[in-house]
Amino acid sequence: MTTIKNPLKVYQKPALFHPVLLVGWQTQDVGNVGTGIMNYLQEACQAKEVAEVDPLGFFAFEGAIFKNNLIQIPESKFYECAENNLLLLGSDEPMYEKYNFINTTLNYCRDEYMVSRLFTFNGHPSPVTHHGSRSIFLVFNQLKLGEEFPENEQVEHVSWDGPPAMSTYLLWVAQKKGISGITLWVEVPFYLSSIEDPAAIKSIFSFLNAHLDLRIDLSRLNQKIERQNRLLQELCDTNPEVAEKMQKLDQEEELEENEQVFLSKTVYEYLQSRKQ
Amino acid sequence: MGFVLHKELDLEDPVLVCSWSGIGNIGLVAVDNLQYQVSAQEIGLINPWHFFDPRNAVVKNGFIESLEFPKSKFYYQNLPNKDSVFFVGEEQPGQMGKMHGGGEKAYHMAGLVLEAAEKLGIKKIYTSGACVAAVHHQVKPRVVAVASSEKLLQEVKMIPNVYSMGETSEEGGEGVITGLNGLLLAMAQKRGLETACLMGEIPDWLSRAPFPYPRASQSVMEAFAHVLGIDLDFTFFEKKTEEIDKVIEKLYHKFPEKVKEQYDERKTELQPGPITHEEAEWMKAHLDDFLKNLPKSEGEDDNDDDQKPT
Repeated sequence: MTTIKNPLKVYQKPALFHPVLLVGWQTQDVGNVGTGIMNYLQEACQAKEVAEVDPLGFFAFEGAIFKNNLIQIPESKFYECAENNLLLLGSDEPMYEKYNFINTTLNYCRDEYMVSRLFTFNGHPSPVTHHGSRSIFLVFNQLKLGEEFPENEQVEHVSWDGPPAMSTYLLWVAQKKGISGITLWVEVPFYLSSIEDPAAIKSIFSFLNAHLDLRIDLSRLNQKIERQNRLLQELCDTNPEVAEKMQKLDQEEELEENEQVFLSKTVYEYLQSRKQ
Repeated sequence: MGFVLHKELDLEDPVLVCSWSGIGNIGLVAVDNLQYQVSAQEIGLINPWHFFDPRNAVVKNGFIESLEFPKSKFYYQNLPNKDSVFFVGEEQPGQMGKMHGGGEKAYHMAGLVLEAAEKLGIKKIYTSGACVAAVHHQVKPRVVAVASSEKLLQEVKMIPNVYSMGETSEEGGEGVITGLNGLLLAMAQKRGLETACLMGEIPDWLSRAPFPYPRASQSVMEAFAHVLGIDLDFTFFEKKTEEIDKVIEKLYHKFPEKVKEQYDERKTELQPGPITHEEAEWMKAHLDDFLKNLPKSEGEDDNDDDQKPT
């Protein structure tokens, strides 16, 4: 509100015209989907940082948050990806003044870059295993987008009546500004929620490659998927209890809450111990 | 940030009756029911997004149909004796789990209500809220008034069951009306508008209860019926009071005998009862425990979260 004066710090003049905006949230990032997509793109496209939103007023500064033993500072940074004409926003979800945050970022994208379309990404914990493909659930802010992105075996249109996610709020404000927006909610096996699920990230990239003609090289992601699948197989081979739970899931059987907790904890600890 | 009035209105000496959420939602329930009973029409609103986060989304087959924010709306009805405008604020900005809002956002919202009021030619504003008092829940709550002038105070004191703060409180006529129901009065007075606040009494130990207190809302509505010169139907309140009374009685029966005896003396006392400050604090402190032991249907609802996220 009035206390937050021009929270945007712009480092470089826009070098893109009519780019597509991709937004990855780093908070409550199921399967590390938002962060993973942003990191992969930044590296694949050698993206340049062009602006950031000053976190003051949007986040609580009551101490330091750490993740995997590393201190985290809330940040919201814009990157240009010239090769694919993409504008990237990798950001923590603001805790306060959400409308002000969304308004600031969208006005910048619209006024400086003429952005007319955006995509946001979220992971959605699901009772599936890593053996299968990851379905994508779509939320969009213009009716015609339902025809442009129709349902198929891998893509479903969501129905929901409940508290809105940050992505939904972003899309709602974007609609008022004439920016079409789509959120991709990708399935993440629940036991991979707290770690990266490269297959979920690949599923998003496959969708984007198909619809935006991005031609992002996914070979590094494929290697990650292969490695993670190999490690999970090792775990199943050495831990019959894990194998049994996975089998139940593959047979679409429901797991009890304690079984879910056991599987999540065991998988997390194993993959963390084998981290490269 | 701003307000929207859907149409131009040429009103004759209109009054504004408004309320926000607060303790027991006494004022909010009263004013919202008041505007409903007189079939008032929505004439405007305060854009919510600068003040509140959305609390619900409806997504159908992928498309975001709506985002719901706490409402802050103006209503109008041309009553036989008075052009009346109502403002209902479902939530106070800056509230964030507290009983009342405050700070910069509350100040801005009060400013917007007053700008709209001035545009509508309003010179007199009533707000409503709760008056936490050492009273018994089985006694009809009084309505406690404060006003911007002695003249208006005397005017509202003519209404049956309405008393000035000085007549009901140990502290005399001094005190604080927290949140927007109070802030608006102060800001309105600064702009030269006449103001009064009509507060329904709520027993001190119920001031933190997570349910409304319709008994006091009814008292407030009766007072507003006099102010506006109308008759109202209280069937709704009588039913609600009956429902809530069942919950309150269960809590009351869990009081230790000694506390209950002393508390019951409030029934015959007009002035604050003989219950000690410590005992009142004890009751407040134990309310959460009492509530935990209630059957589920009388406490909070279960949420069915078995849906996909949006």
